[in-house]
Amino acid sequence: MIKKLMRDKIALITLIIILSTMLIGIFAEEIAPNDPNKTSITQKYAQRSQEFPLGTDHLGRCILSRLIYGIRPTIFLSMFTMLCTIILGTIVGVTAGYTRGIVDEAIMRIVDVMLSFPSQVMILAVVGMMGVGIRNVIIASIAIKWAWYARMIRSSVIKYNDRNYILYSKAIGASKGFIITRHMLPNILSEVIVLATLDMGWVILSISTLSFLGLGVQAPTAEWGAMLSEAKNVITSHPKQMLAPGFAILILVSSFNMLGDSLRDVLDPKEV
Amino acid sequence: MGKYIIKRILIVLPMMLAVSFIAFVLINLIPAEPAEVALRVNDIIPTEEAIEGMREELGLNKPYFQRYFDWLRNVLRLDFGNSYVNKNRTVIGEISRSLPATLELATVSLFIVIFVSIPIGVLCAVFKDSIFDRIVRLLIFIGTAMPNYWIGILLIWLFAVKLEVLPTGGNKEEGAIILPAIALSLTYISTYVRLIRNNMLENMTENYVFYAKVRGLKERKIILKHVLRNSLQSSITALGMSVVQLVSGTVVIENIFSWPGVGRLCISSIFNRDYPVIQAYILMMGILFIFCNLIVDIIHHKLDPRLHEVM
Amino acid sequence: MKEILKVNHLEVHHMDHKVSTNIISDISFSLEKNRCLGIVGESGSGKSITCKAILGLLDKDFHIKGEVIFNDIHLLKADKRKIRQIRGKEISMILQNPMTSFDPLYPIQEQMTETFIENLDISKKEALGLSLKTLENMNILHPKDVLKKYPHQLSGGMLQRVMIGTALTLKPSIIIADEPTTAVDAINVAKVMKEFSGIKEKHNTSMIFISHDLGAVAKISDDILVMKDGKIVEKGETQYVLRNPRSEHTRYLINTRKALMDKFHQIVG
Repeated sequence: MIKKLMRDKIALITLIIILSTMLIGIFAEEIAPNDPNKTSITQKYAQRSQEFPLGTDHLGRCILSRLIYGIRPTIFLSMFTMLCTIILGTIVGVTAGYTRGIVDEAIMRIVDVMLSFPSQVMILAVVGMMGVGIRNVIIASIAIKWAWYARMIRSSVIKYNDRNYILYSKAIGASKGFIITRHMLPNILSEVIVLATLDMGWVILSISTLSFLGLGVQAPTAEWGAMLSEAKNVITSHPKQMLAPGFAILILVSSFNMLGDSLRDVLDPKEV
Repeated sequence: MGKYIIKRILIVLPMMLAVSFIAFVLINLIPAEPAEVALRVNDIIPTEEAIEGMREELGLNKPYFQRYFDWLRNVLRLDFGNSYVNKNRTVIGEISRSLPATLELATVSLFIVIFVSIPIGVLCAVFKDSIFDRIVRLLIFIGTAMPNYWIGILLIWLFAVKLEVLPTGGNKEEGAIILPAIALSLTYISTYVRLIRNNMLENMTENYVFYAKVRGLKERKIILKHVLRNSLQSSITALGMSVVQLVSGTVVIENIFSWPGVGRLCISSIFNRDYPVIQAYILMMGILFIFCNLIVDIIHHKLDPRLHEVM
Repeated sequence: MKEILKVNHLEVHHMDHKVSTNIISDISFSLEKNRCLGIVGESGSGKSITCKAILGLLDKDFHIKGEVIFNDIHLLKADKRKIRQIRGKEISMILQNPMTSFDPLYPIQEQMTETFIENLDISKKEALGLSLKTLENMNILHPKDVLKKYPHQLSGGMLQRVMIGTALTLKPSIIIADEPTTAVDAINVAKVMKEFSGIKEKHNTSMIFISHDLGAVAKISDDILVMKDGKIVEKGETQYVLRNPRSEHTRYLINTRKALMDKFHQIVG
């Protein structure tokens, strides 16, 4: 699978973009030219220079540094969200797929409702009640996304459950836990990875949107959506402020989307 | 036919009950004591006595289900109580004041979505892999990866700041609806162009299209009369649900364009911890969702002869 | 005898991601007026593709070479409009799966009348009358009710008769029947075959009858064409070919057929 992926140029490029963005995020302290939160009234809206490669914002903070530090909440919080979503979805999905019967019925009805209800309203409901802040945004995102994974994993479990080698494992008396971890999960994993990659784009957009509205990451932490929100306030005087964070989101989200599409093509050649 | 509609409408009742219960339960997610919050937002020091008084006033010391049914009875009379922030304003008054603006925005956007995505989707399918199709697909790709609030501010900058042809926000000035409506519809246009294109392509491989060609029908007639109608039939559920998505999508757009609708009301209520308003908003969206579902199902049923009961 | 359709050195290639596969390689045959040409072959031998190629119904992934001449018109070179006028009006086709051949969202009469309006240049009212007459001619009971029915409300056999009737009403010079017996259950095969024999006798048309069933083709066709892997392995007058098969494949088809019939007679007694 990895070999096939390496041959796909688009997948390779997007993978490089994503990985290098992550590296830059991890080593933000070393790479960023300035302290992202250091304000300077004398240096407001500075032009591009040696010291500030992308200029400064309305508080005289280095835009490039804020962009680099902004990778952290964007990518890592999104990944954390996805991870929790997948874990929760897997637990529920495996439970439903294995138990069948009433438990399964009940879980799937809840999942159906979750899937059909508009996600934006759900997020607003959770954030609205639990209060503003990135922690609640992540909880809200997990709360609305897990259902997708639960449904997918449930159907995979049911599908693989009847495969010969698993029947064989059962016949020789392997324990349920052993069957799930050794045989089932590796099979389901590839499907989950595709869906998760495609969903990363969605989560990044969702977190940045809520931060833009002021419901997510709070000032003065650097975050791309929040940066755009600040840029919006000075749209008449300094419109260039909104370019860098906007493009950063666009490139990152489209990289994830493209990578997800390529992964799907590699894993599921019949859909090409 | 009539039987189906009655059956379908009967399902609505338990669904509404479920949604109302969820909306009611949500308020328990509040990390603080609601009575205390109600006091704090009005700058009253939450002493023990004041909290007790407020609990009494809000009916918070009654048993749980009792509270739910009390609340439900009031909700059925459209009484959501008063706003925590402006004690002399009713929640229903706040909502009904801002709802028309949101509906106006959502309706205009819906028309844009329909009138743009259907023709483009059809053209893309007919001229599959042509330059036009490729460009549209590229735009769709960018459209789905672009945050719609960024599209919103870029539009403001271009048309309101740079060209000065349209107002930056509000809904008082002439043409104020144009920018928010475009910004709101763009994301959904990408979704529906793709949906219609794929449905058209799928239908074009159907046997009935082949037989229509065999019968010597004109290409245009086959596409417009047969393929398009069948594609819309399969897209109608998604198109219908877009109404809910458009209304909920107004939250972001209304805030960017200072459009005085329920989305903006919802966000400011979240900041002000005005829980009754948030609760009413969620309930309203839930009910809108149920009714859109109902209407879409009935239309779908009506348009598809295969679903009609044997006459 | 006048040749109404002539196919010379027809070749079809399928292009899929720059990989070209040869589907039909260099076949030539002709159809004479008022005769029935049977094309036999196993599935995948290229029978249906040949007919689709003649009518220009293959999509862009297929590359076609050679010539197809219908009444002095070169079909492969003719423009789209010209071919469309020939399709339906001059060369009608009856498809193998009537259940999926009609648009599920329109009643039968809508699909019949649009065909007549398009090909015969008549008014809506005339077309409606003609549709009714078509069903009456096909001996369909309650034709008025049938016209108002949707495809899913009618049986496969009924839809096939609607299809045959529509084709006949257009009075085409050639009728192509593509595996008309596959979608019909065993009991009705005889009925369908009788229908087609009737067409041959009553109407002045030439016919191309495609089937994997040698028995069916033998019953109805005057001339026969045996295809295998996109090539013609045998052609000639039906009775002659059946008695003196030259190619290995024809002999194989005859023997399987014979074995099947023997088995059948053995069981039936």
